[in-house]
Amino acid sequence: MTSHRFVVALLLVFACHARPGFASEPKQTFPAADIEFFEKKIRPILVKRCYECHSQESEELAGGLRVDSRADLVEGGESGAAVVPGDPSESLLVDAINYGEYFEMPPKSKMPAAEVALLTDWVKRGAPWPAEQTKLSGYEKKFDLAARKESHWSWHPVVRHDPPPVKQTTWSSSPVDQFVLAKVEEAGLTPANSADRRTLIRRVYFDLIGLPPTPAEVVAFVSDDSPQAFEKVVDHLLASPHYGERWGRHWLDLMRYAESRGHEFDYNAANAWQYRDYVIRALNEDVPYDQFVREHIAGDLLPRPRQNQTEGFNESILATGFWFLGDWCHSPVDIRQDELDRLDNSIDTMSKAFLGLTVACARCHDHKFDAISQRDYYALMGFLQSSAYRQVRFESMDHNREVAEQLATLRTISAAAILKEQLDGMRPGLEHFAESLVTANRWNEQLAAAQKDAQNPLHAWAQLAAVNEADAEATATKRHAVAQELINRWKTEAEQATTVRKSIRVIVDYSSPSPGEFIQDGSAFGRSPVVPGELMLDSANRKLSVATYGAAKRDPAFNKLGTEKGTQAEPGALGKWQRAGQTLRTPTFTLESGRLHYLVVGAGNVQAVVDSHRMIAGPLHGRLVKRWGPPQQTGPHWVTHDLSRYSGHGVHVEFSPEGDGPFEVLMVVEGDAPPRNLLETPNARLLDMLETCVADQDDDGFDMTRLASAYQSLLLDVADKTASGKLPAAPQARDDAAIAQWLIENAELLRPADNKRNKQIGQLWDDFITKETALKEKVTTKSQSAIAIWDGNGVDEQFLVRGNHKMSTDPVPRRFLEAFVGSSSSCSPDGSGRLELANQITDPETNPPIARVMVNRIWQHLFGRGIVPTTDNFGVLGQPPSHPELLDYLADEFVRDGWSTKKMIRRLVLTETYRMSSEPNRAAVDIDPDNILLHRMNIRRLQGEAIRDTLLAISGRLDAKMYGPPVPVYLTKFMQGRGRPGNGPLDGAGRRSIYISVRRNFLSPMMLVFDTPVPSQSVGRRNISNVPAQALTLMNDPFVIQQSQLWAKRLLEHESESAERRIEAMYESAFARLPTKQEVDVAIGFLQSQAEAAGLPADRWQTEERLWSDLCHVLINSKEFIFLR
Amino acid sequence: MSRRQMLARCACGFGGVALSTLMAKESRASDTIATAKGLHHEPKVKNVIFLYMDGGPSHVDTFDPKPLLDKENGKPFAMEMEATQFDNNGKTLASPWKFKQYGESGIPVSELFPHVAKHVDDMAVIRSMTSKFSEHTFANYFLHTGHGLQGRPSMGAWTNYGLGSECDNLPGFVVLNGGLIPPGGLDNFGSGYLPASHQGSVFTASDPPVANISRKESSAQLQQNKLALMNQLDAGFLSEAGSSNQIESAIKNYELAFRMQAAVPELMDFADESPATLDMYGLNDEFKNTTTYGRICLIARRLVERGVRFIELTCPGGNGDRWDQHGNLRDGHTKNALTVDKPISALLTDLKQRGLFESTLVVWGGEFGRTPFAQGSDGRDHNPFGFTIWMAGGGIKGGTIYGQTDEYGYKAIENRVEIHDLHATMLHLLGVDHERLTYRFSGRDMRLTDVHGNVIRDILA
Repeated sequence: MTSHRFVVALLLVFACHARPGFASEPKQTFPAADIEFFEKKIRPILVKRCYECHSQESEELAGGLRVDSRADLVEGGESGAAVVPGDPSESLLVDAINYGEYFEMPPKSKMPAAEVALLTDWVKRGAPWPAEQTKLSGYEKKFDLAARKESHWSWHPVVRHDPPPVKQTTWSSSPVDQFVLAKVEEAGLTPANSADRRTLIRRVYFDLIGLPPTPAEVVAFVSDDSPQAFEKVVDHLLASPHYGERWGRHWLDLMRYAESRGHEFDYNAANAWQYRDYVIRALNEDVPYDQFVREHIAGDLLPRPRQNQTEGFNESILATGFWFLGDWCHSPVDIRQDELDRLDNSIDTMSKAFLGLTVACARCHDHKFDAISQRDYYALMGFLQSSAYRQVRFESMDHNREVAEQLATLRTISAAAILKEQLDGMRPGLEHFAESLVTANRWNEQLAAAQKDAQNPLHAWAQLAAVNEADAEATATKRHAVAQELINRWKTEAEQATTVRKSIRVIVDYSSPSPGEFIQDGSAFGRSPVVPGELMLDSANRKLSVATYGAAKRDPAFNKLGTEKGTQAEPGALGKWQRAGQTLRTPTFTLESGRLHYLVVGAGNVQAVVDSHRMIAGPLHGRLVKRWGPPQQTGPHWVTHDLSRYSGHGVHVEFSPEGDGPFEVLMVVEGDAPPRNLLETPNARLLDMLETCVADQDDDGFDMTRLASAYQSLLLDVADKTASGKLPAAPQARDDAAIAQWLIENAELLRPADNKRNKQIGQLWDDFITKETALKEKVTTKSQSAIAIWDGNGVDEQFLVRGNHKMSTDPVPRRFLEAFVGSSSSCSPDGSGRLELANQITDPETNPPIARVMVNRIWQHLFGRGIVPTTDNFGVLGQPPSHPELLDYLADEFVRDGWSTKKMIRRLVLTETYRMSSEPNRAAVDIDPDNILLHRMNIRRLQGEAIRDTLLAISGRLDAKMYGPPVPVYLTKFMQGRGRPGNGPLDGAGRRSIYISVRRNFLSPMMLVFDTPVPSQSVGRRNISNVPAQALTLMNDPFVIQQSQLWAKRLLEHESESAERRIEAMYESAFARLPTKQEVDVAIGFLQSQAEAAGLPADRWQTEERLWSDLCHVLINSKEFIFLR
Repeated sequence: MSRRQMLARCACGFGGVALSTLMAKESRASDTIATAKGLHHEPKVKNVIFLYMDGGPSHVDTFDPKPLLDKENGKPFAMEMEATQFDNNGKTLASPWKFKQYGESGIPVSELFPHVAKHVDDMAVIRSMTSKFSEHTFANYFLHTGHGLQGRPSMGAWTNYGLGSECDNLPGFVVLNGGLIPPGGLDNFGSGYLPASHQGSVFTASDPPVANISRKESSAQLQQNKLALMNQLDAGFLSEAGSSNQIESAIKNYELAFRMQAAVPELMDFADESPATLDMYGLNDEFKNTTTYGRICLIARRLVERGVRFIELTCPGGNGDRWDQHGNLRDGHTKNALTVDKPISALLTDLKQRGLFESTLVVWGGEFGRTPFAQGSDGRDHNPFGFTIWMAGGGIKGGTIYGQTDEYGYKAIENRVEIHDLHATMLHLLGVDHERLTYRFSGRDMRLTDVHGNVIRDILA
């Protein structure tokens, strides 16, 4: 079955979409015998095999298809016409009952062969059916995007509301408080009292930096009488570098951040941690949220990327790593399906995190509830199809690009100067060239070579000059014949070349690339490909030359690119060579035959990226990678890459050099065999010259002096053009360039010895080499690398019926959601268009959810519940906002405040609402049992990271070192399986939890137990579970015991202190409060009984470390330790 | 009352039976949707034992004989071949093992499973299983969670979410790790978006079987003193903070944790098992892997006795690469079968002897089958298009063969069963309607069976 039929079928579906109702085909009547055949043989089969899911009787109509009326069959369901009367091979029904390409029906068991034959025959007979009124009911699209947008609040623009009036006007002047208070009052409640200072400081420390206040900090706050006491604490915390570590972890949940790829072997997600550090820095610097989002979507395309504050490197591009933080499979059998799943994960993450929308629900059908069409989904996917993964040398990329620019400029200027001197020197020689050719023997050596070399410009002359018959007349006649023969041969060869070129599909020809075809990562391939006629300077040999063919050419100035120590290599085959900063890629195209041929110079590596698949490890897709060593011959040679297995798939090809030798890519073509001699076609200018020369002469004569003059004119012409800057554009350029190159090669013969000029040229070379060397030394060869996106050519994703990639139809132009930008919007054809997408996403006018979603997340982290509790779903199935006006007020303020997250947090924690006590209000038990109105503060359990970090903080083990490669996770013997990494220290080297490695298949058991999400999808709201494993962890985990011991040791270091004072210090560290007298007594009692139980002398309780360690352990296990009031 | 007396009294709180049971029930009610009797209808079984055959056993070498393969052995494979994982497809490959009919039903089983074969009259052999994935990881996630990607709740998690646990001192979903954690890792047993309490607890065959289960204090008294003090502090905190469900459940969790500390060692202690039983499970066998698998089969029975709802067993390592015989089929499958055959047979016998068979569902199967054509010369590649699993136990019509593959055993052609159908049937037997067991996440009501799944009525008694 052809897919051509499918497109037709689908066009019909879309036509129906636009045209409700049903236009019936002309009424048909069938012969009675056919009707009888139908009633006796066919209808019973349909009833028996299909009605359950495809008729009026079906509970839910499968695929929108009914088979109980002919009209329904002909019109079809979601996948298009089921029956094309008379044409079984075009009928989906027949495909399906044969378990064909698209469907396998009935799904459970194939029909008996006899029934398949009957149905096929029936379709062939024109699908006879008794007269029926009309279609019974059809597949009609009920999806109405505009109505859905209209009817659901979250699509509507943010409206600024004034705070409502409140009765208790003295409570707070903050508008936020007034919004909250109004609702509390409306419910007949009063807000809780303010929390005491110790409760408050513990609360705000954990909320803002995820660590407890030290006893000294508590005391300072408690004894600060100034009205700004709390503000001071808040400002101190917002300025703390720990702030970014705390809030960065919240963000990483949304980004399903991990450092390995999961699946069978849990390979590295190389250098993923650079993204984690980016997030921490960005939050600490309070990068405006719109900028932060823009960087995520298109940080690689920003006209002015943000620079690192201390190192100056490109920060913005690091954000784009988020696109590629998902899990990866190493050998997917259905590589396209795998791609769709991978991209789905990226779209899902992007839309949930930034839009609070579940766009991925529209993968197989229009969204069931929200104003998101299936076309929206594929329109977004195109942005990713147009972009690729890479490891980017973020530290050096901008700097090296500047160096490359300067090198290019220097070379252009220097080459022109050297050339001018050389040409000026040649001028007299050229003006007498004809004469010298005819008379002087200075050319003898050249001519001997030229006679054998068809590519030599003097070939014709040499051939003709060599003719030496008995007399002048015979010689002239013979010369005429030889010239004619040469002309004929050249013409034939030129025609052959044209034929060869037509027989292949040129994917890229770097001698004349179209705009956007020259795509590289880094600057190693210079500012642009070398074009024929371009001047090149070889400083090692002090040789000027003219490029005779075009190529993307690796600049030797970038030969030594390497990675900084500690940078992870890519897993699998790709990690074997140095790609970052020196990779050239073709645009994305669809493979036809799949036999690719690369015309290259030097040794190199290539990866064919089919369906964006990257994880090349294991047997299945090994052929996508190819490397070749230094070839025998210098100059261009063909490398064939057989990808016929992938024909029909989307691909782009990435080239990178191997070693320090020259590396050039001239051309990528697809065809049965590489086209030979593509670069050795006859020189059209010489052919032209010779033809004119012959035409001007009699058949029996040939005057060599006229040919010599023609040569002279040609050379002068080329010399003039070369001197004036540019030779003509391709394809003629190559012919002129070859001649210009010959001129330069033979400069010595063409100009008289001229010491002064030689000295001058020597001086130019010296200058050039000095400057070039200085620039080359400026190239940063060592750099770290990070995951980033790489813009390619614009590729639209195809619309996949029911999300099935075997049923692809028309491409959907790339655009943002229709509900935001309309259906006709499209982005510029150059590149992916992600920058436009980024600008639309961060424009609150275009995209109202952007600010709402973020302020809601902040609110959730501070109050324990979002104003919209379903933080990642603002759609119909999400929960509605408890305080819609407040949400909009905050969204509006957020934008007005320059998208400052810190200002928003500051504003919220300084409210009376935040400062309320969490103590329950008896009156509220019935009215607001879940505290949705916030009549008091919520009690919250600390997150796993905060629990672990607190243990380190109070034991004194916390290492405040920030950033850097992750500390390997500590592996218990229960953490087994493929890809098991090296073990890490039990205490994570004392580092904060955000720096412990996140390996998908080896996640920290302690974090899992305390609900750190599995990094598979975006999670904005963590589960808060309450399981015995949490108790077992705090009771028996060796890490917890170890930290208890450390803490005790630290306490006992101050031997002079009394037991009471130590117990006070413990309470202050653990709970930010002092113990009561009774609590101190109980603790001492415990130490005493524990000494007794341990069989120790009674007086040892005061100094015995293990007893104090037990007391520390008890405090850690008490609920006050892990709950925030 | 002296301080010491007070502490001693508090210590009694731990392990106090009546109080604990009450608390366990309460904490269960908060995050499961169980009702007293079944969930949606009268259940046939209370427990599930899933014998997971990691790597994909070959159906044409075990439970789905194909004489045509003998006839065409070494010839080019006659059907069109789908893409395979290794893309190294060889010729048609006959089974190295002979088949024999067993029992009254006469169901044929190959020489690989002489012990299990004796139970065919209690088994429903499904020969028409299909999966959607050819890669281990995707297929494992699919088999375990009904979805090919990481991060969804495992069937054991769903079962416990729906029904709650009947065991007060052990988790409701236990994975007995014979040595191999399948590709995809622990997320095959995860709770995904369901509350974390439903995730599978992985027990190893070693001692202790689970992390952090043993107290670190040198005597019980030392730990009890600690817990007593903790209880006292918590009581104070709770009254200070006002009643809070969260804090109360956290306190209660210590009770269950404390009981688990005792229950788990008791579970692993076979002192009360007869020598005959140990022998039957293969604990005295020479082949070490049989011993290992025998141990976890016996533990599985003991978990059933204790009311643990869902038990999954993974295979021991060292038999080649799991059941994944891309080469050396004869050796690998022989060892794998030798490892599990006797213990599984013992498990079925033992459950019957103890009257637990009728209330337990035993499921045997891998994530896919293997190709009837060779990979290279002596292996078989992955085959998700048709393979065999079997079920036995309460509610299952024994002696049944359901569905069939084509004459080569390549693809299911009759009564095809999807993983979703398998899940729907398991839930059905547990008294759960798979369409009504839902959890709201990511904007919709999620199900183990997504939008699919039909109960396989024909294999039900």
